Amino acid sequence: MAKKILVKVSPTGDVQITTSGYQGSECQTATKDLEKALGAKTSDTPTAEASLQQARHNAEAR
Amino acid sequence: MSHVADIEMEVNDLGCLKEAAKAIGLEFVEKSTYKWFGRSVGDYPLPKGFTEADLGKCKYVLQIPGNSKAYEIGVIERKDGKPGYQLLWDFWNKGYGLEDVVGKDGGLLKQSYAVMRAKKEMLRKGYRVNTTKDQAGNVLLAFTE
Repeated sequence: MAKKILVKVSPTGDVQITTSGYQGSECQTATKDLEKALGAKTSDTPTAEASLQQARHNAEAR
Repeated sequence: MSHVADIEMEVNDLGCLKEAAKAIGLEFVEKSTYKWFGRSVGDYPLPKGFTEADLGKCKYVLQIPGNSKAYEIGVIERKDGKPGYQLLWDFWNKGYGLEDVVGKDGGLLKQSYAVMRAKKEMLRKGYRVNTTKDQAGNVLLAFTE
């Protein structure tokens, strides 16, 4: 799956960042500089796929 | 009346601010004062870190070209000592036309700046971008490696 970073900027200036195709914490590394450039007022939304991967990771770690 | 408020956005790139302003119909000029009511009448809290004497003073101005009635936005070095700029404007009576351009609380300027800044950062890192806009006015940027 292609790695993609989606940024949604609302007409009020709120920013939402979503990633897809990244493995685990790789997405946080990919978006770190972007979040820094945009300042603190952003929100990260992991995709369903990322949440599923994290759940699997947690289950395996137990 | 005067209601000078801080447009809450983190400005760390003046080039992007210039482009963002231009994209929504404002011009960026080097000027040491921005247009506002002219005196504080004490009916609205001062922006954090500012005194009455600071109001109206700035390093750059965002203005509507050819509109001498509209108030202007002052671009001021951050008062907390960190790098970057903050934006102040007098939003009384919608800034006499300024709010029509920058949106409520400067939302459209914030949006335009965030779009420019995100593109600049990601293009610098070698990503490609596809830009679209939805019916609600959200700008959607899809970055791919």
